[in-house]
Amino acid sequence: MMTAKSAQPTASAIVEGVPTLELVGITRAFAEGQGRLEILTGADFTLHPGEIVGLVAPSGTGKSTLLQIAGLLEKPDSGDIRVCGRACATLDDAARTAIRRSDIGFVYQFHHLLPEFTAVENLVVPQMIAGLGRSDARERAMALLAYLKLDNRASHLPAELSGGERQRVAIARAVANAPRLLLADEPTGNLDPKTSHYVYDALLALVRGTGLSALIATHNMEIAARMDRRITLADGKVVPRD
Amino acid sequence: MFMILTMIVLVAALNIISGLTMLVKDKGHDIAILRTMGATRGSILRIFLITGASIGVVGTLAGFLLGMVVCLNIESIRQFVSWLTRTEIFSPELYYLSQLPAEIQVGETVTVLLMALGLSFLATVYPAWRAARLDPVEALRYE
Repeated sequence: MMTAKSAQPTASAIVEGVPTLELVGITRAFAEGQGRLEILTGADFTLHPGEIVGLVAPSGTGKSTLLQIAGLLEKPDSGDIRVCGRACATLDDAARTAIRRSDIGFVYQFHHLLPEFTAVENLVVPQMIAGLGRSDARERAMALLAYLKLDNRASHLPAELSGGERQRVAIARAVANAPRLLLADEPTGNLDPKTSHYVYDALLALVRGTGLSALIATHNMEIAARMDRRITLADGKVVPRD
Repeated sequence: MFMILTMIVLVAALNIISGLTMLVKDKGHDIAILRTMGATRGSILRIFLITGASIGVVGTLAGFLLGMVVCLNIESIRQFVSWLTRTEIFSPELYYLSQLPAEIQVGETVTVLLMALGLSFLATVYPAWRAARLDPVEALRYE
C-alpha cells in the first residue's frame, strides 16, 4: 500500500537507526496569575522508526503540550527536539513549517476537516500544499480512502459523514504526505467505544502498513495495550507506564 | 467629485476590512489546520489577500458597469422614473434642460477605478496579516 519515505511497509518492526523523534530536557511553563504553571520539567523521550507508543496520562498533565512541542507547533522554554536526526528547537517558523509539511502528521480529538471540501478534497489539500499536482494528489487520496474503506464516501462533505468516518478521513489526511511521524491527541475521544475500536483498528493498520512512527495520546488502556509500549507524564517528566 | 467618490469607496473598503476580519475569526480553526499541515504564513496571507482583492475587483467592475449603463441611458431612466411616479423629474421648464446631461470623462473614470481597486487591496492587508499571524495552538486549544 502506501510507502513511507524511509521504510518499506513493515508490521510492528522497530527499525534501528536514527530515532524518528527525540525530546531531550524539554521544559514548558505557562504564566498563571502572578506565577508560572510548570507543565513539562525536563521531559525526555525517544521514538524509534516503526514504533507505536501510547501516551496515557490524565487530563491536564501536559499530553497536548508535549504533542504540540513534538510536532513543532509550539516552542519549548528549553530543551532539544530532533525529528529524524534534525535539531528543531531553535528553527524559525518557516523551517518548522517545512518539516511539518513533509515529516509530521497530526490527528486531533476533533476531526477538524475543512467543512466546505469533500472527503477526497480534504486529502488533496495537504498534498497540494506539499507541492504535488492535483491529479496525482487525488489519485493518492482515493487510494488512501480505499484502504480505509471510505472510497464510496469520497465525494461527501464532512457534515454528511458519521463521526467515525470523519475521524478516519482525518487519519488519512494526516498520512497523506507519507510523513515519518504521526502524532495523535486522543483521536477517538469524541467517539463511542465501538466506533473508537473501529477507528483505532484503522489507525493502527495504517501506521503499521506504512511503517511510520506514532505517538498516540489516549485514555483507553485497552487500546494502549495494543501499542509497542506505553508512557505517561509524572511531574512534567516522561516515564514508562506498564 | 473625485473626493466625494473616494469617501464613498472608503466606506465600502471599511466593509471589506470588517467582513474579512470576521472571516478570519470564523475560519480560525481551518487556518490552524492548514498551518499544521505545513501551509506557510505566506500562503495564508495570499489566500486572504486574494479573497479580499476578488471582492474589490468584482465590486469595482460591477460598479463601473452599472455606472456606465446609467450614464449612457440617463435620459431613458429619467423618463421611466417620471412615468413610474407620474411626476416630471427635472422638469425642462424649471431646470432649462432638454435632457439630463451625463458626461463620461475617461480620465476621471480611470482615476476612480484605480482608486477603488487600490483602496480595496489596501483594505485586505490587515485582515490577511491577522490570518497569517494566527497561532495554530491557540486556535485549536478550545475545540
